[in-house]
This record gives sequence, structure tokens and C-alpha cells, in this order.
Amino acid sequence: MSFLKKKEKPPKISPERLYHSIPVITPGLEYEEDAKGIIRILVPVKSGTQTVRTIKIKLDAIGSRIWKRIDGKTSISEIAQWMKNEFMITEREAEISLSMFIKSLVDKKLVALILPPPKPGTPEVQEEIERIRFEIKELEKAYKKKKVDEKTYREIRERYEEAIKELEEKVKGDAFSEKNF
Amino acid sequence: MYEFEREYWLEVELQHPKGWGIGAVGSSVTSGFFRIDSRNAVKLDLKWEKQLEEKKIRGKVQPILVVNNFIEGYAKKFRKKTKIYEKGSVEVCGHKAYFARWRNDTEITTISWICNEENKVFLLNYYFEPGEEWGKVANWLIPGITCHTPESFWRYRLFGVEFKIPKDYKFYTGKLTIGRPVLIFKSKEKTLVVHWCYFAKESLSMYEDLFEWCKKEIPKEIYAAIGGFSPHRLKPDETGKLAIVETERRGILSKSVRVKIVKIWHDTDSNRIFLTGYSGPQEGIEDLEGLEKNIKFQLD
Repeated sequence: MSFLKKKEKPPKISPERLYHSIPVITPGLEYEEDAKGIIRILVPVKSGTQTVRTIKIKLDAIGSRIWKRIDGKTSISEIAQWMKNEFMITEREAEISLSMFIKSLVDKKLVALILPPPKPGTPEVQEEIERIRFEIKELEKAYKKKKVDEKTYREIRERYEEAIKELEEKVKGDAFSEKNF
Repeated sequence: MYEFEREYWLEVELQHPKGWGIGAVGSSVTSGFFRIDSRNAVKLDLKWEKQLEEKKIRGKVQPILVVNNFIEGYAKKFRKKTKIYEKGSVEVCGHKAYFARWRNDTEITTISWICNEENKVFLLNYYFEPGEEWGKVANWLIPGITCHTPESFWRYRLFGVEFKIPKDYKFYTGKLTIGRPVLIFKSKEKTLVVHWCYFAKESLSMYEDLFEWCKKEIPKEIYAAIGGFSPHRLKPDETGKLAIVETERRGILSKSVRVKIVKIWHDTDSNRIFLTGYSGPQEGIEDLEGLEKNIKFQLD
């Protein structure tokens, strides 16, 4: 038996939904590009609100070119299509390698994803509820560690809870219509 | 309407909607298994087993029993109730096949047939998603299956790369890493190896040339399959490919000569670096030549 508490993993997002999501570079994050087009992401390490030092994350040639396509407007599927033609790779190769790369950026909190709304009547709705609940837990942790001030914490939490309410009503509505028809 | 693509894998050819791909493989000398997944779900799996001579003497395997046993085994293994609601027969690649449509959590169609030409028993499962109809699926799935061919080779296709392997070779082991697969085939004392690497131009830009790339990037599975070689000994051959050709005589009196050949080249048209290898008796070199000549890439 392990006495160490395992870090909770975020709920899974369906590949279809992930594929149509839009990656956005985390606001405030800076990066530099060298003459060869290689990107170095400058990640601030903070103690409270103060930046104590900066870590540089160097991307490889392909990663750097993908990074430059992340503009907050282009979806993963569109980037995959661009990759397919640009690097002569199949759609499946593009989808899988890009999803893995984006996931690693999301895990390091360098990129966030704007997910498309869940399709009504599909397991995506429940998946979204679980995801928001996980986000609330993360927000609570950040608040307890004083990384977020009280006003922001309450505002975001309220928005999250409203979103869950809306989604739960949708689930109830779907169940009702299934019973009746 | 679906657009289809053809899959060539483990001595079977079939077609499936575009975008689906191999999700898992397994094989031995007498059996083969692979699974095809869509973006969201497992869609089908196919398993074949060579019929052993002793089994043939004891009595012919009956596809209808293979299907029933599979469904019963599934129910036992997963402790789930299964319900068969349709049974019937279809023709697969000229063979009479039996199928059962059944459900537990999902709807599944299981098909089995015997291929006398290849002396194999086949079992295929198709996993339905809401909205899919068996009639429509059967229309594209069944006619697309090829379990035997008159040719002397099997076609393989993975991530847009197609190649031919002589029929006496069996898929031995492999790594289906996206963009960098390693596939090893064996036939008695002969070994054939295929490997490629996508993003060739971008990957080579990190090295001085292909020779330097080889020193660092050749997967360890290839060294093991060929029986060890030094990339430092790679030299350009008459076609411009980097190559190693090593021969060794087995024993002082033996006349048999074993060869190890590795060839590596950068194909700018497909933006891939290809590696082919052979290890075995000298007489088998033409297997490598055939493999090398028939590697094709087609972007979907």
C-alpha cells in the first residue's frame, strides 16, 4: 500500500472533441525565436506573486513550427491538416503526433485548450461536467496556496458552477426526451 | 458517405473507412491478430490461426462452433450476459463464413471462416456504434476482405508506406511507434527488417548528414534483429544509399555464407528516411532486393 497520495489526473476528453479544440498560449507567457526559427519558451517561476527566475524550454524544429501556428484561432484539426501537407505525413500520423505534443504543452500549463461545446445527448456532456469539477478542485488548491485572490476565486467558481448546472439540466432534458419518445 | 482505404496487414487485406488505423497487433508463427480503431473507438479485430495437421486429422474446425465458442468465452471472461439475435452465413473471399449478431454492452457481429488455400481459421469481430447498421457495414466490409492471394508475397501497409514481404516470412516482432515503426519478419534462418522515420528533412537538419543521423537514430531493435553491426561502417553504395554488407563463413568446413546487409536512404519525395536490413544465408539476398524495390509511399 502506498502512503503517498497520487496526483489526481484530469478527466479524459474524447479524441473527437480534442481534435476540434483550439489551443491557446497561456496568457502572459513569453517566448523567443532564434535565427533558425527555434523557439524557447520563457516560463516564470514564481514565489507568491514575485518572479524569482525564468526557465527556458527549448522546442525542436518541428515543435517550433507548430508553436507558431498556435494563435488562439486555429483548431488542432486545422493544424493537423497543415502538418499533413507541410511534412508529408498521413492524417493519422498528424493527428496522433500533434495531440501528443499539445497534450505535453497542456500538462506543462504552457498552452490551454478552448474545447467545443459537448454534443447534446452524448457522453461528452457528462465528460464536460467531470472536467469542470476537476477544474474547481484545482482552483480551490490554487486559492488555498494563495495563488489566486479571493475575488477571482469566487468569480471563477461561480461561473464553473453555473456551467455545471446548465449541463446537468441538459442531461436531465435528454433523459426526459428519451423516455417520452 | 464513407471514403474507404485499404489495409494490408498480417497476411490479410481489408478495407475500412478513411481515418481508421491499426490500434494493436500480435502474432506468432501460427497465428495473427490485429485491431482497427477509429478516432474514438475500437472498430474491428481480426484473428487467424493456422490449422495444425493433427487437428485436421481429428476433424475439421467448424466456423459456426468458432463463433459460438467465442461468444460463450466472452460472456465467461467478462461475466456479462450476451444475447445472440441473428445467425447466418455470408461469403468471404470465396469461402462460406458464418456470422452471429449479438450484444452485451455494445452490438457486435462475429464472423468466422476457413481459408483452405492458406489453411487458416479466421475470426473477425465488428463493434458497432449507435447509428451503424449491419447491412451497410457488411456491404463494404465483407467484399473487401482478402485472406489468400495467388502472389508469392504479402502486402503490408502502415502510415501510408506500402511494401511486399515474401510469403515464407512471418511477422516476428515490431514496434508500431507513430512515424518511426520497426517491423521484423523471419523465415527460418532469414530475417528481414523494415524501418522508417517521418519528418526526415527536419530530423536531418539536426545532424551534419545522414551518416551522422544513423549513428544516433537507428533503433536498438534493428541492431538486435540483424545481429549487431556498427553504423560507423556505413558507406555509400552505387545507388547513393548508405550500406553495410558483411559476410561470414559458418565453421571452417562449412560452405554456407551468412550475410548481414543494412541499407539506409533519404527519400525526399516522401520526406522519410528508410532502412531495410537482411540477415541470413546468402541465397536470401534477393528477398531484401525485392523489399527495397517495392517500398512505396502514398499520402492519404
